[in-house]
Amino acid sequence: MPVSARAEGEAALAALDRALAQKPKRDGHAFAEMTEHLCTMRDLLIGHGRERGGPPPLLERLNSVISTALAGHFPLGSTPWSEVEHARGVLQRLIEEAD
Amino acid sequence: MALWDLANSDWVITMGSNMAENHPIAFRFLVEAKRRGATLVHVDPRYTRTGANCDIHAPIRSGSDIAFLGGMIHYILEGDHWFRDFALAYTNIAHIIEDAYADPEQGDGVFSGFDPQQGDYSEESWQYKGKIVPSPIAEHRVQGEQKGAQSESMAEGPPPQDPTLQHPNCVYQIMRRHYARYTPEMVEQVTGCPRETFLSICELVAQNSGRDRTGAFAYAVGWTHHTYGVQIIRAATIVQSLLGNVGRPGGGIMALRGHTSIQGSTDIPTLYNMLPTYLPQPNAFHDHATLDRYIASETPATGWWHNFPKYIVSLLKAWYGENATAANEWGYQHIPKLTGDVSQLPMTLAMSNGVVKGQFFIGQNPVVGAVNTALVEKGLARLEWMVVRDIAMTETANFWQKGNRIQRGEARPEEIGTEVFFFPAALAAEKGGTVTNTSRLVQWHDAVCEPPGSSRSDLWFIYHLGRRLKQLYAGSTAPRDRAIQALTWDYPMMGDKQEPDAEAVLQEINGYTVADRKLVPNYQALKDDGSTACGGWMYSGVFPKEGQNQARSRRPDKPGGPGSHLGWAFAWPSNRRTLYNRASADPEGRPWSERKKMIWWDEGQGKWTGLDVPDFEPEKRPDYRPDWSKNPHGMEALGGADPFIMEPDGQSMLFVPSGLKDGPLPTYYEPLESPVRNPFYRQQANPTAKIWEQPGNELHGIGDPRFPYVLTTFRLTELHCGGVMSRIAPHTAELQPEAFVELPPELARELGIEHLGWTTLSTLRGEVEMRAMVTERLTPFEINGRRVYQIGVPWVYGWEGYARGDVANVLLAITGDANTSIHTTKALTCNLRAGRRAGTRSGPDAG
Repeated sequence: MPVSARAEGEAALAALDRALAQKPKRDGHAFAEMTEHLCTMRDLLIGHGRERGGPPPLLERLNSVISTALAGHFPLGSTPWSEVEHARGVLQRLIEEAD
Repeated sequence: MALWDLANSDWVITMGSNMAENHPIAFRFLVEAKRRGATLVHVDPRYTRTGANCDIHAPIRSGSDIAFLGGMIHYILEGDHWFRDFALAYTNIAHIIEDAYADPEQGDGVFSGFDPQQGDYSEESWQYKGKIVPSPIAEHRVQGEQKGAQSESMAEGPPPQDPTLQHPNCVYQIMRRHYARYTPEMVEQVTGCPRETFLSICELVAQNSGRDRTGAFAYAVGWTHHTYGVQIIRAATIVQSLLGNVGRPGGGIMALRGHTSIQGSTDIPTLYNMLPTYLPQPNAFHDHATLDRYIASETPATGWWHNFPKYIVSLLKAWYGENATAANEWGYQHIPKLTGDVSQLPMTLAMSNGVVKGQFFIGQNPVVGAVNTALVEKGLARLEWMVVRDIAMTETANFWQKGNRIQRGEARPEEIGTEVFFFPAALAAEKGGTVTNTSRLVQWHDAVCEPPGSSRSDLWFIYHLGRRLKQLYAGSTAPRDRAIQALTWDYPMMGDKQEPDAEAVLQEINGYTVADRKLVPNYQALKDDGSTACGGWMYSGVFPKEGQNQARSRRPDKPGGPGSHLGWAFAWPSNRRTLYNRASADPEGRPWSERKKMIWWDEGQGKWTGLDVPDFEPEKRPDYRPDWSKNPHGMEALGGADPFIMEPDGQSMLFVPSGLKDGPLPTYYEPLESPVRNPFYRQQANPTAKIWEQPGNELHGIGDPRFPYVLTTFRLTELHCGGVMSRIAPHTAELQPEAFVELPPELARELGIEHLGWTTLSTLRGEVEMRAMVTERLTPFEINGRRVYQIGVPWVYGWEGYARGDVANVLLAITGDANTSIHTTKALTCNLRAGRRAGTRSGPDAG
């Protein structure tokens, strides 16, 4: 994983932790920031994968984190906080594995 | 009800629609009703050509509809004007609700079950006592709940009822308490409609409903485009169910659907949360991990929806063909599972965060038609690519060059990296296929000429795109690509341009038996064992056998005939014109009256018969009663006098125990932006409304003095839909040559605005300039003791075509109805002043 992608992942994690700490009823800000960083991370991974000529490793797991992040940002009914917390764990491991 | 059935109405209230101008072809049936003696009413902020053709025009402030309709419910209940024989037999008026239920009258504006932390409801306290009622509408299912398997209680016996209506928690008593304060005085105070006018309408509907007389409401997006739009329609449902105006000739609620196959786009949906014909989209957070679990959780124990497994398996078989087997769950795992709300509005916001990389715009021009269009443009600028298919250049296609953000100097074209692919599209007359609009009427039209040059039909584009995708992924071994590989995509093609055969698509939607590819005659023939395939169960019967495209049929009834015109096109389901028409007969199966007969029980033949296709099991006797000792399921659990077969107990729901995210009864909230406080409750607005706080999407506070005027948006007869298709035509463009704001003379005098002079409208989202149309069609309202001005703007203008003007939807915020996520376009606040806005001009004299 490129260094810049890891930095984006850590920034996303920080934003996610803010959202989880506050568990707000309606918050666009922390989730929006997290999504922004996750998507930049995704784009960096895709670019890195294309340079290497193969499917980018970790991409599918990152996409699952983005899907769950969107569920937190734009929930259907109640915000699925337990799933969002689970996604946090996935993201943390993803960053660690990249090392 | 069928559009032409409106001619049989004794009264019609058009509300939430300017029907004469926006559905002019349909409006002729109101003109015919009037000729036959009906009384027509238009309830609307503006006096339009609809009002001019009606007997009564009732002006109301935009967004106050539930106060008006709630007042009607109050009048009907307290005056004992309801159709007792109908409502006692066919509605849940006597059903007893859980003891824990608490009304907004107790909760100062919120129902029991509200979680203020999450901003949503739990439905437990709304249930029939001792029961769990499944939601019949998948899209309204609350996140995390799966009630299909839990709804077994509905098969154990009927819900508890008190036919004397004395039980304090029966629906009748709950409604009386709930609507007790919706008095004529309160209606006047909230809506601005004079109480005498309001009462004259109440008297009209009460005196002209019953065994021998019926009436109808007609509505369009003036009801839906609010944060409580579903509940406005629900309020009309209560009025009509109480008065016996459902499932009967001339009775009902007419949903005036958009011209461009809008009904069809929800039937065979372009929506994110439904599979074709209203099957639930699987959800990652529901018990949907396998097909068996999905079916178990989504199949209600009782009512017609108990047939759900047949419909979903047949759909999968249609999509994946021989790649769908029992061993692979008929391909169920190929269907994406929802995690969150990915409807248009949130995805517009997510676009700004970089989530979406590319988007297709087919028959849509969101830079004009979506809300908060400057924010839409911001999202589009983050895309890597976008595809626009249209008949002429649209504002969406060249937003990067001429958009609002470019005009304001907030962005420069060279900074926008979005690659735009603009494809010429065929006009309607250049392609064959169906449209499904008002009355669920599926109408076929043939191509009358070839599209010019490289223009192609949308069907051509999608089909050939699919073919290329299949080719691209043919050799992939990635699991994520299996859905594309498994898809059946083999429609025959015609001519040099390889146009797919649209009739073959319609046949697939109709359904067929897999073994011999023989078309099924109706949805009753569908199975859940993989032996049938069907792209949309409700459409079964539209193509019942080879060579019989029922949507192509054009055989109207002759004068003196039944008047249902069953030979004219196809109305789903089963070519039925009036849903729930079992209610047109009394519990014993006899027409309520000779004048209002539709279907009835024929004892001699032992079946239902009449002027329409019966919406009932054809041979179920009126005196059939479920044998509860046998734990009946499906239709066996519904009696012969339970007409509302899609509901789990066959009864019309005055009070909705499940399926609504914002309460079991319509209750009054102010629009999210309002100049006044809610006179009913401390709770100002719908507490479950979808609000997305984001820079550029700010909302105005209650009574914000910077934005004192109530604004509504509307369409024009002369400029169709998003406008482009008629703005490019000189003969329609010159009829409405430029954007304008309609305002009353009193306000014009206060602000120093002259008729045809320039004005500037502003909100926290943006600013636009328009010419003034000063007109007495709008009058000031007295709301809650203060004068409130209502103004209106058409939203159909942009910078393309001959008729140009600022995009009105720049003013709007992105917000959503709790149930449908639909945006708010009909009631917000704004400022208005004389003079032009600062910055680049985009009007017709801009040069």
